[in-house]
Amino acid sequence: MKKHIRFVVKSILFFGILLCVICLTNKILTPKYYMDSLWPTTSTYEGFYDMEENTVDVLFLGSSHAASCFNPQVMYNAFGIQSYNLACEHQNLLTSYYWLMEALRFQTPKVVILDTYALFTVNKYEPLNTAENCTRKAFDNMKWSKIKWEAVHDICYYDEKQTLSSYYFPNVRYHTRWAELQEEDFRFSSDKKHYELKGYTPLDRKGGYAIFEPFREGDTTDCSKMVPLMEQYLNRIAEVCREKNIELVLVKTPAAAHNISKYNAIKKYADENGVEYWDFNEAKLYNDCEIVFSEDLHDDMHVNIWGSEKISVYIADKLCREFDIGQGKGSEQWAQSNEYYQDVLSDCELKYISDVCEYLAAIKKDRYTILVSVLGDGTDFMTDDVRTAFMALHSDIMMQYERRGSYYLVVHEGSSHEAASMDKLSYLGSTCNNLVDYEIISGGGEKGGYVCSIKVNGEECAIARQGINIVVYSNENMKVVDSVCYNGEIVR
Amino acid sequence: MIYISFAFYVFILLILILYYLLPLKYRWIMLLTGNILFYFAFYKTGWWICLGTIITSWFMTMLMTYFAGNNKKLILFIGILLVAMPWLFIKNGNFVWQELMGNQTISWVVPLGISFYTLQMIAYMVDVYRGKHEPQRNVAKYALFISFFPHIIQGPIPRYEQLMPQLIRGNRFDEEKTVRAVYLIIYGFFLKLVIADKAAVIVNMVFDNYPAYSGCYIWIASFLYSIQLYADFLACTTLARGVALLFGIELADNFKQPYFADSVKDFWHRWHISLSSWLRDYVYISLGGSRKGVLIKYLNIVITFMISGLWHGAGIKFIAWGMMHAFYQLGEEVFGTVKSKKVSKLITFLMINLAWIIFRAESLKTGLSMIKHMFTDFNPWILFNNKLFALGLEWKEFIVLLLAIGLLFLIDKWHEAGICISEQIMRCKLPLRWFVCIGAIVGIMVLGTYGHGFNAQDFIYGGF
Repeated sequence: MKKHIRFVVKSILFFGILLCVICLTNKILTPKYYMDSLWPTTSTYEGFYDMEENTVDVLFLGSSHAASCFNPQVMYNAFGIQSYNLACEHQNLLTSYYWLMEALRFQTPKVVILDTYALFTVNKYEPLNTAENCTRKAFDNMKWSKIKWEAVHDICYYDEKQTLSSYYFPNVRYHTRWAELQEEDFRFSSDKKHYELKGYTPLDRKGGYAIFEPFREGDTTDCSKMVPLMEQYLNRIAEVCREKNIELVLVKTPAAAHNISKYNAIKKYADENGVEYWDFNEAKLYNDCEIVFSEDLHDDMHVNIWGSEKISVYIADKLCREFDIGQGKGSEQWAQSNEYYQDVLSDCELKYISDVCEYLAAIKKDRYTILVSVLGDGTDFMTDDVRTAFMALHSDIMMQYERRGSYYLVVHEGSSHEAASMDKLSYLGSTCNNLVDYEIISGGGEKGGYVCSIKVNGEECAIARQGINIVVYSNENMKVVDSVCYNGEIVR
Repeated sequence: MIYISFAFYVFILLILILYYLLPLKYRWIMLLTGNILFYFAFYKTGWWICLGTIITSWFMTMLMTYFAGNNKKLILFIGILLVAMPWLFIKNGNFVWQELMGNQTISWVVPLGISFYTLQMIAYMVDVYRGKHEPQRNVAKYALFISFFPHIIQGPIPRYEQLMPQLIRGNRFDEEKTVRAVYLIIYGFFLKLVIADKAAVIVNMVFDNYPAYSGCYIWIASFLYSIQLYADFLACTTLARGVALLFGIELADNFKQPYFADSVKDFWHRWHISLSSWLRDYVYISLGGSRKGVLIKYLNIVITFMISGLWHGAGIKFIAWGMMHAFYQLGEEVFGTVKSKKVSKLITFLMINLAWIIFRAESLKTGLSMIKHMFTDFNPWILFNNKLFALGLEWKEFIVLLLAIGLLFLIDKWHEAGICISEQIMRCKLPLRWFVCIGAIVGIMVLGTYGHGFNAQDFIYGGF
């Protein structure tokens, strides 16, 4: 008997260790989308669990349209509204519903704002209306509970391509990633702390259509048909909000794919169910927010950071007036993250600076690693002002730079490393506690081989045009923020 | 896929707990219950055919006890006919009905493991007839012997005297056996997921898209198919042995390093041993074996291999495959084998490899055409210009496959030298043992071919 008990104890211990190793392996294998990704979905969901309980008053749900539009920091700064953006790429209504249910385990929001993009056909070949990998992104980061259990059963019920086992054991879905694992797959314990933006995704391109006409209510009575499954989950969301006494607001962010027929369908639904509907493609709201489509949109679907500021302030004001939310005593959770947000904003603004001296002054920050390499003749457009600006950037020998010479400069945490020569120069170094390596090659003229390269983690980042090539790397977000070439003017 | 499904191991765990909780003399009832539950949980179809043949074969052996001489022989004959009939219809019906007579395909109800349990029943009846052992008077115990779930799908085909006592006696829990069983199960998963199913990606690509591929592509695909088939079948047998061992039951080993054989005759002593020994004992010897002169012996070899071919599947290609092996053996009988062991091993492997091409190809015609194009198309550059990595496995996966095959070769070499790996691991200190086990499990979990993006491969021999 004693022998058998010993065997049972040993077995439990063995399987305990095995389980831990499997969980760790699965954690490594599961794709992660932190602040260095375009859509930092993992940060959004992991960060949500780190919020103090019952502090979030407004919750945003929806697709990438919502993720890039609703900016909790701006709302807090403007009206003291404590919100969190739980939207993500291709979030369908099923995902929205279950994430709302999950959120309600920890928070007691007064208002839920839901983007309606996924109510209509996004991908007609997908049973859940949106891509499987995006649904996975949202649920891989949800903690196990009865809610997740119900969610994955529903997903597998509607989408036969998906299997329950792949949710219980993520290796079933992701084990082939072993051949493509990256650094971020291993550094999740530090990356997960970056959720300062509270689910908001900053986009920095000004790429909306030059001509965009918002529609006007009553332009037509056409009514688009919602995807039945999506409508079913919208009903469930509305039902939960009613039960919990939460105000549900349906929203459509500015997007070229939206139209009056869809507006009519949602408006009808909203009226029938007694919920608010704010459509920023409709002329009144569009004009009230002073949106300029070509300036405030990243592309024809997503609002950029400047557009998000306009809309977020507008919504915050409305929430404040109509639902009496905000202007409370404030919360450290939102107050502390303002500095980070301002940094993100200045990263975005960096891309639109056209004056080189202003640019060099803007990148002179400890949170950047600056990598410079000269190709061709850098002196042709080197004015005294530019040389002075470079010197302010810890460059001591820029003044000595000779025509058709090679030159490189690395500025990192207030110190610099540079060299100038007529021969080809190369330099290898690392930043971010040796986690990120870079390689600079500068062959200014014929003697130097006329080459230019700035590689970060093995990836070429330099524009490599004739002139002074500059790559700005954010130590905080571990990604290249900007890459330019100065040849009399800044070229991107 | 049953033996590598998560549900199967949950099922095993439940049956195992209940088995060891019951008193010794009732434990066989738990196994029988397990068989029934297994059938209905994982398959369902055709259970009545299985049950019908079990009762028939049991009844026939009971009848034999009351008769002697020609009457007893007649009962045996009728018994074999009744038991083999469902198998003949189900497995060969469409070949005759559709391919030879040109009619529409009939979709037969196929009971689980019919090819295996049919042979098991025939062997049992013949053994009772020959007086090798007494018939089992308890039909439930007999049903347990026939339908024992770890081996019903893909064998090994057990002998009554070897398996029955182990099933009935009720086994005490044995830590060493349990640990050894876990090792076997892990090894089975390794063979299936890291070798067989990974190799299948390339094999299927080349064989299913012929004539798009020729020359070296076919050489590589055929070598990989030889390995895939071996790893796949060995995996299933190893898993069956592992699961049975959890209940303290030792199933016979079905393989003995077959690709180390130095003649085709030797190969059949090492490959699917339970089938080849069945064919030897119940077909070849029954036909007279080598006792009736050389010509009859050769004829018996041809007949035995023809039956072997038919057992593997209905169709000309399987008969041709069986015939190839028959003629290989006749060639060895007449001309002998090469003296150098290494050369004869290589020649044997290449001959078997050619036969496997016929076995795997869509039809005999395609198989012959593929063999022809192996020798007539010259494209060795595909070995150097990365084109191999366009067959479905990128280079890292390809390296994993090669390393895994290397490991299989090494393990077989050790087995050939009489070194048992599981025993070697058992002798190590506990932390090292656990490290090896956990490393193997996680390695299979990460490097195996399964899940999203792959078509799960059924066990090849499960289709026979």
